[in-house]
Amino acid sequence: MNILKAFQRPKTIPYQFHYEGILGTSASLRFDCLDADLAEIACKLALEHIAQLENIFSSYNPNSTLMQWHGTQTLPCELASVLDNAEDWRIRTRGAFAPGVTHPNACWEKLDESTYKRLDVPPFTLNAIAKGAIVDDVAHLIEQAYPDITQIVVNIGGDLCVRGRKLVRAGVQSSDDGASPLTVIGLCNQAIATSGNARRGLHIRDPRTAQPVTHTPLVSVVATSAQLADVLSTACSVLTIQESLALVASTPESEAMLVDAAGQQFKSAGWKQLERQARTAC
Amino acid sequence: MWFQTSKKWDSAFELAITFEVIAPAGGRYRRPYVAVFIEDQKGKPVRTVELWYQRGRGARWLRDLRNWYRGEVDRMTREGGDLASSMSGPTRQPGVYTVIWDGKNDAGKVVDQGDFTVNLEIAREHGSYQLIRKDMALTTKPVKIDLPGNTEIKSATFEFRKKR
Repeated sequence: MNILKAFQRPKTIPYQFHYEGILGTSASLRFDCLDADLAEIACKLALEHIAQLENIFSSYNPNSTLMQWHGTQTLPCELASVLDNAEDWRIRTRGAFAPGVTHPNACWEKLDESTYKRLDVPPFTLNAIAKGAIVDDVAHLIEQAYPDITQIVVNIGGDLCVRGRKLVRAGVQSSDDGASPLTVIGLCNQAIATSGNARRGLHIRDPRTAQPVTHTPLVSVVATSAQLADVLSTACSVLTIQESLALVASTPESEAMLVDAAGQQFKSAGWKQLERQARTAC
Repeated sequence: MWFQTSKKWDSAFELAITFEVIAPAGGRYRRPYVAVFIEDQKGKPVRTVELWYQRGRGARWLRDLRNWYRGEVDRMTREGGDLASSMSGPTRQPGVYTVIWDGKNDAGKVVDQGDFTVNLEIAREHGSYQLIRKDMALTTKPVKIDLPGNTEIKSATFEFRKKR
């Protein structure tokens, strides 16, 4: 008997699922396991969970928890936690990241643990940060529910969360799907989010001036969570390149790559290591 | 005696196949099964550029595709890829895809300039099967062909262009 074979674990298969029309964009889910049926069950659970969270955070669905919030209300913990994070980062970035979008000021007041009061300001949106929060939550849910799934990748509209023991390859792309990625990195229990104006035009505004920003057409951030990567990539699209690199440097376990209007790339201190990791990633 | 030298594919060019799928009613939907493949004038397969199918299901339509069989590693790459499903970019418009042919054949060798047939084959779960085929002369002149839609595809464009 081949003694090596006796110690070999059966190799898991990466099952991938691709959907459109999720949070207004496309979604890809990858679950590595031994059983196609398990992967399908996990996919179904993930999609249901995404739909539930969308009903809380959506700015487009008039019946979502967010859109139904008027005045002072008790809010569910999923929404409360994202509101608290958004407010922390609004203050930390001095308004470069702000749910108000066209103004850097507070949009709500926290009265106690789960009670919030909407302030009399123009409507705000949690679109950027909520997408990352949903990606994190879904990846975490599947990780807890199915220990037999050894590797998880959840990607919704370019916000990507990787959970598992493996190093996973992720590409950073600027626009065309078919074009080669700008770079490829390796991620293990990390997340990445990319902001840019290539696809939807000049939609990112500096809340401090209300003007569209054009100086950094592409920002890609790696962080410990997709929610954090989302916030940082949005803030770094607004801040100058130097301010952005300083912000990332002061945020633990975060890295970034920025591309300026001339096409020049700027990388944080640890970004190159992420690129080196891609070589052994799967 | 005449010596005819055939010119190699100009590396400054690429063929971009862009298509938009028709969103079925009812919110989210699965990405369709798609094959984008190139044949030469004689109908011989030159390259399978892109192939999306669901691993673990016996997709019946796959047998109509020539040249789809690959080894395990390549199959992973074709199936949306560990790269394509792990791509981080600005939020993309749902249902619109662009696939690029770099002029290499399945063996990885650069082909000669000339006449090819570009195929876009699509099959949707709980939908229909459609094939769009177009002959194109791919040399050093940009060519753009807009194609009429069908029951699965809203619109498609085959564009031979300078690399972006």
